[in-house]
Amino acid sequence: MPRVKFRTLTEQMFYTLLCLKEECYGMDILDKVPSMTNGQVNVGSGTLYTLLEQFLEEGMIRETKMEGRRRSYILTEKGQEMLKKEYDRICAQAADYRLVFGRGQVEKS
Amino acid sequence: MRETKRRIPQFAFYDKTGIQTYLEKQAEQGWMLQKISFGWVFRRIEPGKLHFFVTYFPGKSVFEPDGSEKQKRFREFCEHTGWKLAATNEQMQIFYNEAKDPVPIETDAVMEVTKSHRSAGKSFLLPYGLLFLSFLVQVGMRIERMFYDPLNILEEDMDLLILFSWCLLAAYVLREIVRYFLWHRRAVRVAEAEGIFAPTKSVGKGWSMIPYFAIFCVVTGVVLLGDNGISRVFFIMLLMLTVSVAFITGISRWMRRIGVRAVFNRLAVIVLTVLVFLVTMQQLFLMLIRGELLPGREAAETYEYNGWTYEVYRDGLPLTLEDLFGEDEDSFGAWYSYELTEKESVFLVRSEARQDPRADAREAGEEMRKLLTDAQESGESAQNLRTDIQEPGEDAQALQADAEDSQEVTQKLPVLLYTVTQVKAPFLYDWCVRKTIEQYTGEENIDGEIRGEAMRSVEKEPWKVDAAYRLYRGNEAVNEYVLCYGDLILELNTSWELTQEQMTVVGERIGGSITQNQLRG
Repeated sequence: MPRVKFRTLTEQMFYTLLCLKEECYGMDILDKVPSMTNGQVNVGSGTLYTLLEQFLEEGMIRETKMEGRRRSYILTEKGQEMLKKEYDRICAQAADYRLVFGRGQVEKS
Repeated sequence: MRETKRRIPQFAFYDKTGIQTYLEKQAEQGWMLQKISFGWVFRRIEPGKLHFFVTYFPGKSVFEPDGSEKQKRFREFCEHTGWKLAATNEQMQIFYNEAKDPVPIETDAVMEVTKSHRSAGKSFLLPYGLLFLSFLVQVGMRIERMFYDPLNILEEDMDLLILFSWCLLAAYVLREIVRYFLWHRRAVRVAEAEGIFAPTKSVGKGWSMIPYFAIFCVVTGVVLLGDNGISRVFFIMLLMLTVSVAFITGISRWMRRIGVRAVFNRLAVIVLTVLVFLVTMQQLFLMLIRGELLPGREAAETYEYNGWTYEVYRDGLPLTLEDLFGEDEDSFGAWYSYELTEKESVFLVRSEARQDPRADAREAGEEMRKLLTDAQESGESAQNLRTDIQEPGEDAQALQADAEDSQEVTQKLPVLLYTVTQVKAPFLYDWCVRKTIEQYTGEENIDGEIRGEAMRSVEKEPWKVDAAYRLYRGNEAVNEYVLCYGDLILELNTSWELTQEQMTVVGERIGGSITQNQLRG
């Protein structure tokens, strides 16, 4: 089934939005995401460029500053809601896991 | 040692995987892609392991100035992760990275497939779709003609070869489009299920040679099998097309380079295309009028009449008015042109013959009337010519009333037109006869009255043929016949009612050529 745009967030979307809690240059996200995730998640430059355009279009982030070609962005309310929704979804999944395997098993693993 | 080289690799527009692997191999051999313009240009570098990444910029219009803000910003993002631009080709951008294990430019397979698809729509599917439609129209038109007037297609090897080439090209383009859609369907599925970009693959070397082979066939067909006129038109149009495309593309590129806005660039291209088209058409039309485009064959003689130049031919015809009226050549020869056009293909030999009076035959005045009188007096063989003059239909009555007018005398001079088709492939003979007869089926509007026209089978005895058909307009017989002799089909059109004796002469003269053919065979 095709992925519905932003119904859920991919890891890359999630961390990109997370980086934009504070005002940040688009390009800096390329470094922030891997450092935030210990190199577990990387966002490619082309992917980030497209994501920022799409987030702007959807009103999930807004542009704050433009210095030459360097632009900085920040999360909007809508973006925050999206992040929160994704967080709740992940938490619900974690809770379900715990329910099935039990807390002890989770801590042991 | 050469510092640059140019290659024309055969990659499908969407074949990222193929292009990346090819460029990595080139880099290992010490060649780096420098630009894509009239082929791929490489410059010499220190051989080494480089990573290449092909990405698409779907928003980029071909009219947009080079290095727009958006593009520059995108490239800065790429440079930040070590990806440097090697070359661009419209929406396709090729980057390279010297790092050992760089983060790819695209890390979201679904997004990558979507971008690739959006670019392919504009840069690959649209032009290929249009190409396929135009090939289909070409093939369709020829196939339709094949059903309606097959002899016209079958008579020329050139037409057959061109039809074959269009079919090849249509098949090639269709296969490419289908391949793309199959890949895209798989790529969407794999990207969503596994999060990876499904590798692309261009067609094999043999298949990729098909367009070249088809173009080779067209050029060979036109040069070797077409007559001089057609080759000339083909090469003039090819030259004009090449120059126009180079000129307009050059202007558009220059405008892009100096930063002219896309909207003005697009407008300039449209205006220039229309202008170039009009000027080209005007030039072709002038060349056609001056006879430079289709010079035709050389006439035996020419003459001026009423400010126009007319041509006279003296070809040997297998059947002449002299044969039918029992006259010697001198009586008709001075006032007639004898033209024979022959075409031959692997399937057919077609000879189109016409013996018609010169335009200045009216000047003959007395001489022409004497000729007609002689014909009338020459006895039975000319019986029907006399009948035609003395008992004409409505039109001819008007002519007779003003018989002194030499122009009308010219109009009443007998005219003989016929086409002899020899079908070399016996299995095609019956089909060719049927299609020839079908061509005469139709309707004719005569003074507001619609009358059906069709060939009817008639008595074959006087002709000494295998089968004879005559055209009927309603119930009125017309002087047009289709006659079958062995492997020959004769389409005959006379301006008068033939006598039984004349029919026999036709049979002897045309039927005689079968004997000759058989002897030759």
